Amino acid sequence: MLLLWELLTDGTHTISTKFLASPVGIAEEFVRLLRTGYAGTPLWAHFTASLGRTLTGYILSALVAIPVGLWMGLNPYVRAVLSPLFNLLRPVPAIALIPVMVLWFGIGETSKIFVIFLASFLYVVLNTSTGVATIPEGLIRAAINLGANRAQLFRHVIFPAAMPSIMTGLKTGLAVSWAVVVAAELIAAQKGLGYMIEDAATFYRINDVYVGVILIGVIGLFMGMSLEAIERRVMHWAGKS
Amino acid sequence: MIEIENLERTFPGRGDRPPTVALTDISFSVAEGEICCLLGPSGCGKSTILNILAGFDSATGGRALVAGKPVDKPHPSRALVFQQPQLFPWLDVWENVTFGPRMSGMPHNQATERANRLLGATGLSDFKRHRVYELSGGMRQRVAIARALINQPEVLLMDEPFGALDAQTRATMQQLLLSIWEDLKPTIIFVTHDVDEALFLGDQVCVMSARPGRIRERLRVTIQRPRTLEVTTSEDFVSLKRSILGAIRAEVEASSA
Repeated sequence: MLLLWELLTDGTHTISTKFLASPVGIAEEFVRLLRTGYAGTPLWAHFTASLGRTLTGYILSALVAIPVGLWMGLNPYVRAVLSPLFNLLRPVPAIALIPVMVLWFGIGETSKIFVIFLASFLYVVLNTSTGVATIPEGLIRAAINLGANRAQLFRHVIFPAAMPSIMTGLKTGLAVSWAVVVAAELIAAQKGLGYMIEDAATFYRINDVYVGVILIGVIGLFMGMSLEAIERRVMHWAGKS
Repeated sequence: MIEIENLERTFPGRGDRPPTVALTDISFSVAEGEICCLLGPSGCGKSTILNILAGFDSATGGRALVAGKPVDKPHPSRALVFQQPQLFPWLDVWENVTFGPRMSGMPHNQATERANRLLGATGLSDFKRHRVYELSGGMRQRVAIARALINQPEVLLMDEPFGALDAQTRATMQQLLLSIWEDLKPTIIFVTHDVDEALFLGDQVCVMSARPGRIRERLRVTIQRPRTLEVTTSEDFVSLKRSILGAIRAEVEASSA
């Protein structure tokens, strides 16, 4: 496929490289960016800026979302109050909230991190609460019957039983966070892969745009695979019966 | 050990539906170390009796006493074994069996000794570190039985525990249960809809009828122990079976008439 791509672009000029960069061109540009950086900032600094924002927003989000989700799952009253609110917010893309975030937090790091926070929050909350609420009654009865008190029931049964579902939320949340970082960096950023793409597009540096897009894809894939590997190790029972 | 007197359970009606009488006028007693089988069709309330004894449900009338005390809440001294094994899939066989002792803080040595003994009795010694999803249905149910017995319950409440197993595995499990029972002599209430199973296991059989659930007939099974599968073709067994089937047939005719 790469070969065909190269043939259609640099090889035969069937497709102008003004629209679709050639693989060789992208690779050369990637090497150049590695050496000299983009807009006076080394490529790795763009990468760590994006990754740092994503992970900060994402981890904060998980730290809040998991307890809230557990609470919702355990307590029908909390669920009744929060569930309609969250379900209303769910179809709203986090990107649509960027103007509000800017209004609240200005154009600094806080608003970017908060957008990422919001992007993954609902996925984790809703998966966690569903995970808790759908634990088979039989498992809970078995644990109570075997002598588990409330705290033990939570720690030894409810939490582990909900883990596969929490993990599903965390995986989706991470993917969404990473996707949103690009959009978040549209808010007056000086560093980051999203900034790089946006800036390169403005100055028609097509090869740089594609380097950014490919990097985002590869890094996202790698992050997803890392979570999957953790999931397979820790949640060995998920999906088996 | 267990005394049930005029037990009644009515579920409240919802909307314009009338209340459902699940159990009415249930009385029987089970002596210590005895196996009592509750035999009846689905919907006759036999599981409700177990849930009341386990403390997961409350009677709306009458009394249920275990060891002289009324049942109020769940306790490991009244252990349940369900139709589905309800094992914890994130734990291995050993961790499932020792779940109760970990919750109660039983000394480690004591728990280990009991677990080893029960795993030996249930033929699971070689499977301690197996994941529960790697086991067959029969083995899972054996883990569930070991997990219930490790707390040394006064009463073992079994709710159609072999109902989901194939016929051959079921026969093996019945014999295994009897051999464990001969060894530890727990008091057992065993719910089933299988006449042969009730007669093979029980010291007494309570034949129940449905809507409302009541005990139609109580009979003692005097077939000598220890029992092997051969007794299922003995004359005593067959005549008891005939009388139970007769009672069931009369019930069916009465309800369809």
